[in-house]
Amino acid sequence: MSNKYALKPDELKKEFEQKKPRLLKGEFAGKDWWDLPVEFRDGNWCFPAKPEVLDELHFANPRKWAATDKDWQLPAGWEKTIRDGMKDRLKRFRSFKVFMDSCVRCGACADKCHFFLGTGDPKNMPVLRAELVRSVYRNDFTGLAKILKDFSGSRTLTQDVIKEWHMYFHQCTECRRCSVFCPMGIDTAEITMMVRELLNLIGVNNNWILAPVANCNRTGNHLGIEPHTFEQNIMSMVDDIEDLTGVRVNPTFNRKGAEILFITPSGDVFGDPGVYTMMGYLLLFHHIGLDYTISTYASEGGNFGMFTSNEMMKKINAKMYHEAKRLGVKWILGGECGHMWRVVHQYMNTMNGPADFLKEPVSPITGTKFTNAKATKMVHIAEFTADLIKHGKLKLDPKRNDHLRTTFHDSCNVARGMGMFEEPRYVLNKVCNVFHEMPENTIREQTFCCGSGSGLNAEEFMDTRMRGGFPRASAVAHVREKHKVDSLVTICAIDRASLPALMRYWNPGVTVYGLHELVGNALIMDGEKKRTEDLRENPMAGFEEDDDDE
Amino acid sequence: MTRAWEQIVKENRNVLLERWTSSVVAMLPGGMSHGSLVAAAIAEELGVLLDAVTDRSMQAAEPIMRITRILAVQDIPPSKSLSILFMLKGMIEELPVECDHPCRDRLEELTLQAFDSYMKHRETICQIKYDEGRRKMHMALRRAEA
Ligand code: SF4
Ligand code: SF4
Repeated sequence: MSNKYALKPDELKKEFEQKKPRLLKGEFAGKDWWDLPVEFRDGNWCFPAKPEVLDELHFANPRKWAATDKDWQLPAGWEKTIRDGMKDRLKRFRSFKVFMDSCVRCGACADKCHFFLGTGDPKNMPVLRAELVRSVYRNDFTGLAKILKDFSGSRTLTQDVIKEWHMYFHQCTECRRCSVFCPMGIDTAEITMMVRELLNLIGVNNNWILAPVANCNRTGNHLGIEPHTFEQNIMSMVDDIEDLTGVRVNPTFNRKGAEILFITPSGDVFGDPGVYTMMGYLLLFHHIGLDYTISTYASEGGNFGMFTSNEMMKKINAKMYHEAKRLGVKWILGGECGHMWRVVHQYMNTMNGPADFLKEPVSPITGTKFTNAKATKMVHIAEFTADLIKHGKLKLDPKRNDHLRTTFHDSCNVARGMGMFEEPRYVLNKVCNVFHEMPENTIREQTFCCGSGSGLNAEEFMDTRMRGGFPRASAVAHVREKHKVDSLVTICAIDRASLPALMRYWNPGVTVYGLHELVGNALIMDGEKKRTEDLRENPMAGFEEDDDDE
Repeated sequence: MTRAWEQIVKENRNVLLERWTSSVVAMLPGGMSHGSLVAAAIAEELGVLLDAVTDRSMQAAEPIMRITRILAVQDIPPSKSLSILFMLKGMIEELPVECDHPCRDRLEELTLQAFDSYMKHRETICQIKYDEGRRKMHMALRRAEA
């Protein structure tokens, strides 16, 4: 199994040799690799942002257009905008400059990208993806063009280059799998971030990213939900929890003086199956009597600014600390999300910190100091719950998840972005009895993306999403065949939205769960009625209505 | 004497499979290598399908379902995807042994099965898109009602 996902070195070398510049075959023989045509067809492009969305954000070039149009109506002087934008970013972001200069073309990353594995398109090899910009960078910014031969070509900036950037930097989910294998530490995800920023400067964009950004900008969350609706939705979950367990939990909203502010992606409040994960959190907090509150303004953990621009990411993130300060809490607890944690873990402190009005997080239940969160003052829920379980603070009955045979999908951003591998597994193993790992080279640090991350979860992009998610789906198929796994557990809101589609296509019969949904199933609540159904109202195995020896 | 084509295919299984796999993989976009995950998955299923071509007691539906599921989301036209069994027909006919050719009937039957299966996968994709869209609409309605 171990080499199923990797080409053998000699094959890889052959493939790399075949596909590198000027070695193209057939009708493209003798041409450069970037001469391969870029063709937008149904299923391989996301709808561009609507003009009103751009107006709202004061973003460039609002207009009606489609990737399939011949003329993209780029603004006058767009070449200068891109060049100046690139020059500016090369100065401001050292990583961008280093990544432009330091690739040694070793090819180690070539077969590591799920989009390459699922499409076979050479431009989806991370090294070539980056080369799409490097070739322009070399032409415009270095004196190297004439010296570097063979692989490293250079070319001028044309509308076709922009089309190609749009295609291939929207076939990168910023998952960073390639960077794990790069001896130079090149992070293609950061190159993608830069290129998407540049494209936004000339109005080449994606509605699935910018509509949530505009909503966040207005109401604080991706869906544009206003405070009363946000609260009402959580209260409807409180009713559902009462129906199922007989216990009435009591979340509070915007309560000043609470010890902890809880922030989670809005998908947990409005999305299916995210809402069941939210029900799990609510049960957990009630179980331990946590003094927490939920903000209806910092009502979104997710941050699609990260897929837009550095400034937008910073702006959208700022509400977390603002609300923590306004409400006077001691620290922040964060729910299950992927890219939210990338932003929190890697950028928040330097972007919007230091949050010295907050305290170093300490669990009020176990006394554990989360020293790893000393800088950000924000703790991941998986860590928080793992600590509770480790200290014996939760009453759990893992048998209540016996109707599920689970595996765990590491979300790229939590796994590679913050190095969290064990905590969710520890929790999962305490709340259910059947758990099987997917093959080693598809999990933990080497996890495969769901194929829809970084704002590519649009319906119209479905074919490409299915191709990009194929490596992940194949790994799930493996444990499904071997161990009859039927439940894919994850700790990311985008996964909860995108993996159901991926499973429905490649592995019908596999259902997607959030980790804390399973925690919620397993928690033995004080004063609960006999539990016969899980949070989705599916019968639990061995807990049927007339079964008395629970 | 002419012999049953099934027998001849069985005797030449490995050669045929190798040729067939190469041709199918060559049809995939981007000049995918044999070692790639998609190519490897197709190759595995082609082997199972080839055995089912000659042995009617074996289920052809499963490998056909799996192969067409991969092809249905590749960037290649349906007509090309569904030509895979015609490719095999040509290869069987090229074998340097004489045989009667009712293999055509079997391969046509399987091509039609593959067509059904391919359509089902496209239908699933449409359904998934539709359901995602509907869920979004549902959320918008909940907001409007609130
Ligand atoms: S960051 Fe992920 S999606 Fe982007 S090139 Fe690397 S492996 Fe591919
Ligand atoms: S692994 Fe790193 S150095 Fe090697 S080709 Fe890829 S990006 Fe370049």
